[in-house]
Amino acid sequence: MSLLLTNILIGVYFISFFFVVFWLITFLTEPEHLKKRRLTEYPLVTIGIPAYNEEKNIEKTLYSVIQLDYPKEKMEIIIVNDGSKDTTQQKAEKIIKQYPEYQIELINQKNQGKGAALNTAIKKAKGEFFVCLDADSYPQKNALKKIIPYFEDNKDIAVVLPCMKTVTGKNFLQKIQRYEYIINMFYKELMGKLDCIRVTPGPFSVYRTKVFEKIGGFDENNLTEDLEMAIRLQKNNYKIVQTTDSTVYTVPPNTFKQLLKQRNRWYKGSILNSLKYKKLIFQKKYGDFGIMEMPASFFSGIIVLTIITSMIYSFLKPIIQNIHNFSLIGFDFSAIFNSYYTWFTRFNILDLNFVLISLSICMGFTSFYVLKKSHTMTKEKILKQGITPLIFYTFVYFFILGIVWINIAFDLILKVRQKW
Amino acid sequence: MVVTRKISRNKYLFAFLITLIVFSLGLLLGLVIENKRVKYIELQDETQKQDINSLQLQYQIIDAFGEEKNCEAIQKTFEINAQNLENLRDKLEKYQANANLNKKDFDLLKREYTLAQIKFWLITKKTKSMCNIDAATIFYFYADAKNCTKCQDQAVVLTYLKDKFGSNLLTFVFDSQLKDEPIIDLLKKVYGIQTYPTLIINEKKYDGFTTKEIILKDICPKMKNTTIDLCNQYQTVIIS
Repeated sequence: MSLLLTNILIGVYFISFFFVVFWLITFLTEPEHLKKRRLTEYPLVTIGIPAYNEEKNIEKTLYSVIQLDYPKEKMEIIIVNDGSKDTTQQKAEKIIKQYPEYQIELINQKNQGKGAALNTAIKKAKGEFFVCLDADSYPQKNALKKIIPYFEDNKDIAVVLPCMKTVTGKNFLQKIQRYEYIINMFYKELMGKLDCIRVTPGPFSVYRTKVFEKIGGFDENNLTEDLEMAIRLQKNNYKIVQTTDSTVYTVPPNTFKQLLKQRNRWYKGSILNSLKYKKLIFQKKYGDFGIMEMPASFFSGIIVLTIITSMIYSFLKPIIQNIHNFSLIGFDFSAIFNSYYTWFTRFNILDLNFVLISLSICMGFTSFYVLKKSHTMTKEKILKQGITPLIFYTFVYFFILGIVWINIAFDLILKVRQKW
Repeated sequence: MVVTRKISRNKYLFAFLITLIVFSLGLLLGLVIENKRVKYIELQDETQKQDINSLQLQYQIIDAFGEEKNCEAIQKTFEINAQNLENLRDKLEKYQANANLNKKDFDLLKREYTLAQIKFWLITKKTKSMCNIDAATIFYFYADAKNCTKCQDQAVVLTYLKDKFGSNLLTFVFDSQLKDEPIIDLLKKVYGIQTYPTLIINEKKYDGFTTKEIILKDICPKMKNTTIDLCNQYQTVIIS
């Protein structure tokens, strides 16, 4: 590898290591910034559910909302059927008939996208708070009761996010993603401490409704409207907090193809929104969000791509080299034994790559610490689903996401438009 | 409802310092290991020198007293020497490839190694015929990847054969770019080396990459008293 490439790689590792250290310092030194309080009064809450072809999930989602431990007269539920071609409408109507005591409204509109569907719900909303709920997500019974007090406690708070977990999936891919969601909570909690949260996800993010009056609704032409909303909130210096005591369950993709499609949309959306708000990058007036978070997300694609490419290169190179070498010696497989024997007899402790070993130990300890902390934080067990998904998450998942990044790089170069 | 923005200057500074310290420690660790490797090769070089001296003296004794029964002892030293020389080459190549700051030290060690090889080769020439030792000789002239795209492949083939033949195959490896050592230039002139890789197998020159089969064809007939599996085909051909 040329000297220039080696230097770039060292630079990328230096920056990545710097961020890890910075995050750990923040996590260890920042005091608990959120006070947990009990709910004293029940304000009116509007729950907006955008749905597009959600016949499989809509009923379960509505049941989970109905079962929320919150007075029904203080809940307004608005389902926006965004031109579904399946039986979403009929299923929603069935629930409305089944629970006449609840204020549930169904709005059917032409397909305009999730952002537009949410805006329809916001326009109708009468509640002091607006909950955005994806039709494939299910809040825990006490979720609303846990979230609303945060607003009472601090008038500066504009959005409160729940702890997002995946439903207990039987599918192996979903089991792997469970770790990602839990570890992501650690990261989000950290970002919350720095006022740097840059996404207010679809599953059960609770907004003060009047915020929309000031900064407008969701961007209807955005690939990731939840991400754009969060950056816009940050641009207007609103406070977003991440909680860990209220939970919402979401259904992660269960096929590889779906996962790649979802991540492609997320990461591409992240890059495009970083570009849209590039003026925030390195702006001191936005504090850590401008100085650290925006540049980090802007360059994260490049960083991940560099690391992934170098990892794939160092993984594939010896394999290809060995196959080629074998062809030179007429595929005499006894040579494998010979070469191991020779390696063993000639082995000297100095042959080991101590720098790489130290780096791996360092990374191993940090990863385990984050894994342990995130599970404690979310009250989950590390080996709840056995050890195999954890092994796959640790050693293989990163490469899967790497494929997404490589794909995005090609898409952006070739200017492929994402259909969403 | 707005956040008072702050910049965590101290945390950035602290994180930067820790990162710098960790990377510097990594660099330092790399340096310490590299120095240890130089010392290790130096020690091996020194041992090699002693071994060659011993071999030389043993040869002189046999030569002076004409007692061929002592050949057994000389053969043992010869084998150990051949093996040690190969080990030394292997470590030297590996450590030099990973060296960052001590490249010059390794160049010096390589020069010593080259001289040791030549001394060993000269003694080999004499002892081989005197003691009837079954050993084929290959000189391998190589250059770096920039100047020789096939050298890596040639090295694979030679290492494979060396593993199979053990001390019955004596490979002498010469870095054609080792400018400080005039003997390299001398050998290049003697054998008329212009391209890389070039092999001199039992004094016969092969320009460019030489396959396993061609090498075997040339070295197998030299194995008169030793049975090597790889040679079956080639030895049979010769007998028939």
